[in-house]
Amino acid sequence: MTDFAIAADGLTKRYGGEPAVEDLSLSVPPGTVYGFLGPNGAGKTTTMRMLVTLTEPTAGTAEVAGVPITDRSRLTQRIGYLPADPPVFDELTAWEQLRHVARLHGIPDERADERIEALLDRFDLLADADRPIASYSTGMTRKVGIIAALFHDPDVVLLDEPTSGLDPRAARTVRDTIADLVTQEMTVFLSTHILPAVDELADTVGVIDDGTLVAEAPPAELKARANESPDLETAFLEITDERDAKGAERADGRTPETGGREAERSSKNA
Amino acid sequence: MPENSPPATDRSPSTTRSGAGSQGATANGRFRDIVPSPRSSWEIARIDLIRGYRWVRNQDLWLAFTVVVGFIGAFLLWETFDAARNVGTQLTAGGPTPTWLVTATGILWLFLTILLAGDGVSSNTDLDNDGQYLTIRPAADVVGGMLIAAASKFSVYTIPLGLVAGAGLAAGSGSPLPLVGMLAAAVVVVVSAAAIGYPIGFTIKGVIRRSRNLGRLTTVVGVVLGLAYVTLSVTGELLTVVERLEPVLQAPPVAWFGHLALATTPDASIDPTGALLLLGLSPLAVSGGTVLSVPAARYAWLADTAHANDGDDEELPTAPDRRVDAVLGAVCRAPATRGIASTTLLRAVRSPLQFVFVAPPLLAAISFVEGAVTSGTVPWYVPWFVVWYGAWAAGAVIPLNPLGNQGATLPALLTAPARGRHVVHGHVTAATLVGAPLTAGTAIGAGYLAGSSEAVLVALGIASVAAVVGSATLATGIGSLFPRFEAVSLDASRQAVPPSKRAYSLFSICLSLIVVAVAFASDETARVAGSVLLSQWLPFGIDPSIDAVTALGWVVLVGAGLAIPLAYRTAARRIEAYRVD
Repeated sequence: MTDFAIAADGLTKRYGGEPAVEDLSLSVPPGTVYGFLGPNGAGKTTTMRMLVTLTEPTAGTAEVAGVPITDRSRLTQRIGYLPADPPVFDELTAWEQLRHVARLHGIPDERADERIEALLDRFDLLADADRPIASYSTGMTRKVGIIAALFHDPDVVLLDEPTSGLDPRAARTVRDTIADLVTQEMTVFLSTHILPAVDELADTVGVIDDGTLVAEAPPAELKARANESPDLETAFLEITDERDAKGAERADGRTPETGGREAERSSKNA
Repeated sequence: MPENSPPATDRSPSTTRSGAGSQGATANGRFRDIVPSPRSSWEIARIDLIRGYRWVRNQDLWLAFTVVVGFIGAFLLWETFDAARNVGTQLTAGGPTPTWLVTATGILWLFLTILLAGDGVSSNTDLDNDGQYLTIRPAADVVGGMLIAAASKFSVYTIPLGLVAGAGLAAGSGSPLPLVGMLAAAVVVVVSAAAIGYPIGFTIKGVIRRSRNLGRLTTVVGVVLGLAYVTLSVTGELLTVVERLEPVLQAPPVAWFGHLALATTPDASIDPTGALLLLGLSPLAVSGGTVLSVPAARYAWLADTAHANDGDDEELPTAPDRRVDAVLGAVCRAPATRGIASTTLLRAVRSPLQFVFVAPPLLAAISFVEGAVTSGTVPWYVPWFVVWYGAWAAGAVIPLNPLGNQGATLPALLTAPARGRHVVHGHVTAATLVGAPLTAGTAIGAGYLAGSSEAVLVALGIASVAAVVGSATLATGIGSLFPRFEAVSLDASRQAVPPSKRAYSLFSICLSLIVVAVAFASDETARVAGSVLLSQWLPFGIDPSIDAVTALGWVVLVGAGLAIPLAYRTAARRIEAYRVD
């Protein structure tokens, strides 16, 4: 058992020989926010899926909240996960959906309802809580997914594009919520394309490209590395450009319709 | 420049032309708003038809349905040809023109008009892509496209029918002329049905969308109408309805469709006035219907859908209090089991499309009901058929795809502390809560009508519950091994995830084997029949005795008994260890 909230060592995932994630090692201390950046199809979602036991690694090991990722029954009690597609049933109302998730976590209805009401209110969804999710906007649906990932107070929460599709006010609520979580010693693994959010929240930023972790540092350090201007966007573009230039020859010979990489691209672009 | 004046560069050419030109443009615009442009309408229809074709081509369920309908259609067309040939022969021999031909054509027109009105109400006439068409073309063009597409789709039924009927009459009368009248009628019937049915459908749709109560009742009304139609069919009352309608169907203008169909048939002694009037008036009726469809469509599309929370009620929602949760609270200890069962039931009620996949065997039930109504008796085996169907449906409708049914929420389920056994318990509980009372009630009712003894009625009740529980458990085991995640489109906007073909087949075979095994173990006639059939089917001259067949039945039953806990264990482990790769 490590002292890190997330510790991965040589994590690798291949789909039919094609690497989606290659020899990824990282360590995230408890109570911090780890910003996980990368171009579309870089391997972010595959990495997160391996860390939450949804996908079995081809090689390597990892522990989340001190639990090996091979032990799903123990791990699921310690984590919260928000996939890129909010995991909701369109036929249910927001309240019913959240109560369903609460029950999956073994939380009795009375206790769950109190917390659901508070969180729905915080995310400005309470007035619509009895409407079917099918009638919600993209942002409202995502908010329901975020609440579902957080309300059982996990030790580690992994969020895949949590602010995508949210209006500025809702995005601010999510960022404030993440900042609050960290003060409660929760660890947040945050994958997003909204660089200002990462800049504001992350203690450490990891950049993954072509399945490989190509940079890892605090935001200020990454920004300082940028040649053109000292901001995270420039740093990200320069890091991934450099990587792409090195791998361009290799990439030319690769078929795009391969395994999980393409699946990941599709799900991200959708 | 006044603040509200548009900048000079924003002025379109029409606003800078002379007043007469401007008025001409406005008049042209108004005309375009109410009369579809044939070119644009055809383009919209063409895309709609291509999309429909590709949609069917990629849906295995609909392909199978098309094949089945094709076979039935081929049979009916052959019957039509035969009947038409006989009519042609009789007419040539100087016989009278059968009045039922005119009635049948009128019924076809009426039936198609009702169907097309229903199509107009359905989601088939919803605007795709957030109504993007309306930002490109006038609503009239979109309506025109929909009408052309609808008429083209439904002409798949009328044109072959007209051609075959015409060919039959031609064969009987020895003249090709009947083909002309029949084909003309086939076209006029479908085009006029679309032009009359669609504005009615659009108007009803607009009313439903504006009404909170009607919006809620749409599904119920649809089910009631469907049940009414099936009831009328199986009880033979549909013929009574047709008889009552006969005066209308034999009178102008509905009778003119039949007159047009027979107008070119030699010796048909049909007054050509009706046919000529129909040909003359049809373009007017179709144009009128099309023009009327435009405001009707706008009325439907531009409705602000009434929501349940419309009104002055400002109270914030509170925790939902569902009766199903109270019932589940009494039978489920673990919150996770209660969660799975409750969600499964709520989804099934709110999106009942899943039930379509277990409907086909009910076609057999129609013949049972028809036989029972006409003979006044229920055969002894019908209650047992009900037990088999109830158990099969309870397993196939939901538990047969426990992973695929989760859809986008599968990651949430797999990353929650709920265990595999909770998922199995939840699915079996949901299937049992609905399936067991329905199956037991129907089986006992059928048993009572069949004159079964009290002991048999009790046995039917116990067997129903046991069969539903066992079947649902077996289904979760098979379904967890062969999950399916791809949804099937049931219409333009509704999707459901059916079980995989392998799961569906394996499960159905298992249940059918169990039924045969029960028959072998319990009934001498079944054993004798089984022995004879098996000796014919088995290779190498194997000739099983009646005792061997009995033993085989018991072996299968013991195997089924063992398969249920094995399926439970398999499902629980499989779900718990499932990975999304």
